[in-house]
Amino acid sequence: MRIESETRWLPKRGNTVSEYEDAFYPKEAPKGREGCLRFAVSDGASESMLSGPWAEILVKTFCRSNVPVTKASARGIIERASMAYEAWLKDYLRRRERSERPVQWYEEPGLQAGAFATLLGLSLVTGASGDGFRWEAVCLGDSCLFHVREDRLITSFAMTRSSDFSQRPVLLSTNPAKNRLALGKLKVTSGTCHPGDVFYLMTDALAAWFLREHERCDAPWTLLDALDFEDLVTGLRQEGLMRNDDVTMTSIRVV
Amino acid sequence: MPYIAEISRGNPSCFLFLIDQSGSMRDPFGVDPSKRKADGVADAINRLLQNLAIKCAKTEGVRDYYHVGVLGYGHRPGPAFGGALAGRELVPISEVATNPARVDERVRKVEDGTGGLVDQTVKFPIWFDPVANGGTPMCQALTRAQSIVQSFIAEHPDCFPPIVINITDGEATDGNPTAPAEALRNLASTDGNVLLFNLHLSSQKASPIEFPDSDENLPDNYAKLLFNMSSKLPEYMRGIAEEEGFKTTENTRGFVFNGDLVSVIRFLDIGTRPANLR
Repeated sequence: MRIESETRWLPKRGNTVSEYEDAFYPKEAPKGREGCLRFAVSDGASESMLSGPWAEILVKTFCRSNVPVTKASARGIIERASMAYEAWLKDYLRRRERSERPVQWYEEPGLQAGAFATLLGLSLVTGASGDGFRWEAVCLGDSCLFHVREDRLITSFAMTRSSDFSQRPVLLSTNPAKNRLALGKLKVTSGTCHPGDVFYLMTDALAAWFLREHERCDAPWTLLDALDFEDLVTGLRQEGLMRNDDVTMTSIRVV
Repeated sequence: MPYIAEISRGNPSCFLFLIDQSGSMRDPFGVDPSKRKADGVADAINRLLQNLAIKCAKTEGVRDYYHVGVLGYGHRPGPAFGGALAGRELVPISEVATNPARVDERVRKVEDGTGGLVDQTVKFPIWFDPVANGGTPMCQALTRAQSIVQSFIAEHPDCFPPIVINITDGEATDGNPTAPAEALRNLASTDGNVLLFNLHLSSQKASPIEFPDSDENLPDNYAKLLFNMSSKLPEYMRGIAEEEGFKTTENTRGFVFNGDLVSVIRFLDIGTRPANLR
């Protein structure tokens, strides 16, 4: 068995590529066949400062960890990510201070409040005996994992209904004072996967569409597999079937 | 379904503030008699502009999701921005953010993350200082607002409907403002009618009342008049207001008596706002 993966992404319509605040990791499809393969997506909140860099740090920190995915290990990952963000922020603020655009009054409250983002991480433990891989996932916020087998959706994590999505999700903050509520909402799950299975990791706009389609007894994964990603997202936005937001999807195929 | 248009730099919306600068604003402010009502008005408009700019701020600058105007009314209603913005009716929010008259510093208590509180110095931009002279030509101000908003809608026909916020003690001296207020509320983009909200700063010592759904408990006729001039909160705003802890019904109106209207800025939807960002 081996893994094939691909990530597709698009910024919100009207925004530039540099304004994209989702993040994903790894940047290139991993080549290894054995051991532990990790994938993650994160969605930085549009109404917070530096949420793009925070999302980037979260996905990297998750994917570079190699301990089994549990709530406790996830808390450790989030702690390490917060420390990495603090170091990054110090450097960023030093650069701003020396630049022609020092931090302005209207940025300060957002910088003090901290950055906010989701985290969805998937770990595939390959090379184990038996006829399948074990998989483990962690989620906080409204990014979603879908596990499709033989043209059926067998796992929807952590959101299960399109009506679960709101514009006010609880997210992971770089500021520990804002995280007490968030850490209580951390969810983990696990299962096994077999050749032919596909995982999709998605940020919320696409995930909400995916669940809506599935609730109508359609199989949205067939569209995702058959159509050009950019054409599909552009069309769904134009028809008002998908909220205009940054979109990211990592698909992972067990072959 | 109205009030669903996306607010973006390509399709911005509009905020127009009407601020009462009449002589009656020299009177003491009910909830804090050491202050005058004019101080309450200046504080409210400065905080509204500050919060709107912060909401639209990203590290590369303030995104122009809104065009903002401030009409003062004491003698004759007219654009009230000073300095580089003087004389302009509507200004992109990024220009408002970069052109306060001055930036003061204030100290506030914030959570330290371990259950305690620490002092934090915050910058507080000032666009307006208290002004109190002349009459209260509220009808004229609402009529002038109508023409400004009409021009904005002509340029942005599909915009999220403009929001007009009137900050006053309610004592109009040029007639009953009900009809011009209704004419203003009747303007509409393809996404819905203009929203008119009122912040009533009164000399009455009555407790603050925020977003009521009837005029029954309001303490005087000025408050009842302003309540009845105010738009009902659209369904989407009620949803956010509920999430922010306000109790609402379908009759809840954008009206605040002697209280804080800054929460309205949190009701605006320009993208994902973390529930734990407080």
